[in-house]
Amino acid sequence: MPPDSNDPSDAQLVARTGAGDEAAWEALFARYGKVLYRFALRSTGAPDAADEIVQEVFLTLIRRSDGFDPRRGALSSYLFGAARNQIARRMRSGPVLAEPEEGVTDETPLDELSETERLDAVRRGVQALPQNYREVVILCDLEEMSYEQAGAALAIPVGTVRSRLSRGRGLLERKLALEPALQEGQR
Amino acid sequence: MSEIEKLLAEAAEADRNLGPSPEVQRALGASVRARRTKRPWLWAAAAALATVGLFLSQSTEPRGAAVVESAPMQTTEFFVLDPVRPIEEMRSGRLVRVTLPADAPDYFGLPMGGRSGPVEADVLLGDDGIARAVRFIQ
Repeated sequence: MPPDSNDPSDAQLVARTGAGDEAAWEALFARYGKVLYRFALRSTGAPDAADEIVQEVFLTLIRRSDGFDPRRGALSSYLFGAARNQIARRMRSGPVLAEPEEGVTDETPLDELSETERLDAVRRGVQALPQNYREVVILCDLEEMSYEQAGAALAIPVGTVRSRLSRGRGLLERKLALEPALQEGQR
Repeated sequence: MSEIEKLLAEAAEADRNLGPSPEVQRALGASVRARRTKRPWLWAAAAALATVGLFLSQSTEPRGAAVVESAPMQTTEFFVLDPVRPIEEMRSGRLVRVTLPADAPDYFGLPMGGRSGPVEADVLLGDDGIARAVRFIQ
């Protein structure tokens, strides 16, 4: 996610995007589009809600690009902060319901079904974590960010990232121990 | 690596290619292009149309069936304005004829054809008054 030293900075890309530079926009979206979507998806569990959150966050950035001040923090903090607000707003107005997934039928091979169920159990477990722990687990374990990157994105110290991650993993482990799909997988 | 970290790594690998829908990407790209033209008419037009739509939806006309005025002139295809609410899911709506600036078709990648004056367009409004799609009168 962080740019190489030869690449334009986030601040440069934001300024150029605000002026209508499509190449800059594409570079910006390539850096943050997917990671923000997955962050929203893993928090809400609903692809439609995740799409809407990504759209809202980036529309605000595009329309009011001067609202991002690189002197006040990293772009990742700005984007994840906006996404967290959107997620919290949706959570306050009730649970976000995802469409039931298609594709799992009686003809699905047992191995494949088991794999799908295991991963679904992990996703449900992450989604059910308290927000503080869920966010660091998503960024550090699922997005493979460093503690420093996750700390910048969430605007919290590295030490807090470490402690929340440890606590979040512990909570998740206990939640998953109760999942039938995982118990069967361990037999 | 602990068991829980292995499971999370598996989930991370399985979801690695997940990303926003193409509709969202297109809508955001269109917003960037609108900045380039420095004519944010679309937002103003959408807001104005939403007001018109709300007014129409509160009128005493019977609701339900879509009201589509006949358009004897040739028209372009419809261009989606609101990817979050697909046209296909509309049960009813209204078509409103509006006049837009000359460069409005350019926003959708349509050739200007040497036109310099305002252009006419049909805007499809949902029952909620939100503009869903637009087509241009050729």
